[in-house]
Amino acid sequence: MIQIDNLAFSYGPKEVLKNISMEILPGNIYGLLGENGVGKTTLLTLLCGLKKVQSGSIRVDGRDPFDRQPSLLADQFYLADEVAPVHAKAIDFAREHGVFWPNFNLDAFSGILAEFEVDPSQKMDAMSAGQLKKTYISFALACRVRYYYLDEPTNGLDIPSKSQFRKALMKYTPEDASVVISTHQVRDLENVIDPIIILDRRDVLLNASTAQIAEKLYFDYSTQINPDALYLEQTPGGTVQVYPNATGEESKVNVEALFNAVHAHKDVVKAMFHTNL
Amino acid sequence: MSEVFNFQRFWTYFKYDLKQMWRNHFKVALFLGLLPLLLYIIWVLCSLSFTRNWSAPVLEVRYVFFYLAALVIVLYQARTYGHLTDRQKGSNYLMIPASTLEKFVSMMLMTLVIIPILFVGVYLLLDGLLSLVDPHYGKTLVSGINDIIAEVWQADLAGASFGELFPRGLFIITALISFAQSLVYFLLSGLVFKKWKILGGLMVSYGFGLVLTVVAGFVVTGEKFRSWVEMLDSGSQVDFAQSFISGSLNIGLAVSSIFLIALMIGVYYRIKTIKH
Repeated sequence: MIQIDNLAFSYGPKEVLKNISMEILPGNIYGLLGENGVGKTTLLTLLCGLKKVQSGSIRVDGRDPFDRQPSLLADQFYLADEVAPVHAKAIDFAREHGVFWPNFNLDAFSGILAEFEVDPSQKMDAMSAGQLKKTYISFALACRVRYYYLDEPTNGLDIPSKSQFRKALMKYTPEDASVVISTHQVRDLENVIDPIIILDRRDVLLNASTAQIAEKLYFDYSTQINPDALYLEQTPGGTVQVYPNATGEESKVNVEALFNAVHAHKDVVKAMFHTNL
Repeated sequence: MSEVFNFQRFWTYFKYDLKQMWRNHFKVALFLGLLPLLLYIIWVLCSLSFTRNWSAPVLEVRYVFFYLAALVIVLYQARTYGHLTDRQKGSNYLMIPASTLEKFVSMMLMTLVIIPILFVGVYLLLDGLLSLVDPHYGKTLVSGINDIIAEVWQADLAGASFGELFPRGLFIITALISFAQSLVYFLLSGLVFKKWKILGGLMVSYGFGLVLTVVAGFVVTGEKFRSWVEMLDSGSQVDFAQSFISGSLNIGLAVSSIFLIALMIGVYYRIKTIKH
C-alpha cells in the first residue's frame, strides 16, 4: 500500500505540490488527472523514488522510495512520458534488463510486442517514437510488478495500439497491483481507470472510485437542460450534464465531463466527497 | 537478501553493466588501443611515399602518441556514465533494481580496471608485436619507459640518487594513483555536469589548482619556510634538499590518495542522491 501524508514539493520558489494526502490501495488502476503543471509527473517521480520528498512523506509498504532499495525497485516500474532510445534490439534489451525483475516473463514481452506489431529484432534507436513507447510498455507489463507508475502511456500510440494497451494492461498486471496512470487522454483510458484522482495546484480535488462518483453525481446525456447542472457541454447528439445525484439513479461516468465539473466547482465537489484537505 | 550489497545481485548487475559498456564505450578504448598499428601503417606509408625508405615511428613519437591516447581515455571517462544526468536514460539507470553500492562498485571496476586494462593491454601488446615483427620499429614502449625510469633513478639529486629518496615501488604506486585519480575525476565530472562534461571538469580542475597555489603560498611562507632558510644558512643544503624532495613526493602521494578516496565518495554520493 502507498501512503502519502502532507506531501509538498517545489522547484525552487515555484510550489508544485502542497498538502497532498492520500492512500493508493492494491488491486486498483488509478487515473491521475490534472491540468498542465499541477505536478502529476512530479508526483509519479516522487512515488518511484526519482525525486526526494521535501516535506511530508511517502511510504510504499512502509519504505521511503527515495532510498531506492533493490527489493522495492524490483517491485515497481516507472514508465516515463518520453522514453530513451537504446542502442540494442528490443528482444536483447528485454532479455538483459528483465533479469532484475524476478517476475519478468520474456514470452509475455514478446506476446505484447507482437500484439503491438513491433518487430522484436528491430534496433530500438531505429524505432519511431510510437514503436519505442510500445516496446517500453511491453517490457513494463512483462515485469509483472506490484507498483506501476505510468506517465501518459497512450501518448504517441496509434488508435489500434491504444485498444491493445488497454487489453494488455488488464491481462498482464497482477491482480494485487497498484497502477497509477497519469493522463490527459482520458477517453483512451475511461473504461480502465478506477478510482480517479484529480489533482489541482496544491490540492487533491477528488480521489474516489467510479461507483462513489456515480453515487454522488449524475451524468445526464439527455437534451433537457437541468438548471442545477455543475457542468454542461453540448455534444453532437445532445448534451452531457453533471449534477448532484439526488435520486440515487445510476449513470455512466464521463471522465472528461467529471474533470470539468470538478474544476468549475472545486469547493462543492470537495465537500461532496469529503476529500482530505 | 541485503539491501546494501548482495553478491549474486551484484554479479547480475556487473554482467549487465559490462554488456552496456561493450555496446557503447569499449569500442573507443579498443580503437585507442589499436593506435600503434594505425600510427605504424601511416608512418610506413608516408615514409615509402616521400623517401622511398622503409622506416617505423621513432620511440619519441610513440611516447607522445601513447600519452595522448591515455589522455583521451582519461577525458573520455566523462562520457562513459555521463548519461546519468539525462532525464530519460538516467531514470532508467536509477530504476534498475540494484543497490547504490553495487552500481558504484561496478562503475569503479569499469573505470579503474576494465577500461584501462583493455586500452593499455591492447596498446602495449600491439606495440610489442610490431617490435617483434619489424626490426626498424626498435624497442618496445615498455622497455623505453623502463630505460627512462632507470636513468631518472640514477640521477643525482642533492648528493643522493632519486631512487634513494623515493623507492621505486612507491613511485609506481604514485603513478597508478595519479592515473586512477584522473579517471575518477572525469567520471565524476560526467556525473555532475549536464553539458560540457569535459570542459566543466577542466575548468574546475583549473580553479582548484589556482586555489591550491594560493593555499600553498600561505603554507610555504609560514614557519616551515623560515626553517628551510635556516637550514640553508647552516650549510646543510644536502640534508635539506633530500628531505624536501622526499617529503614532497610522500606528501604528493598522500594527497593523491586522499583526493582519490574523496572523488570516489563523491561518485557514490552522486549516484545515491541524483534526482530526475
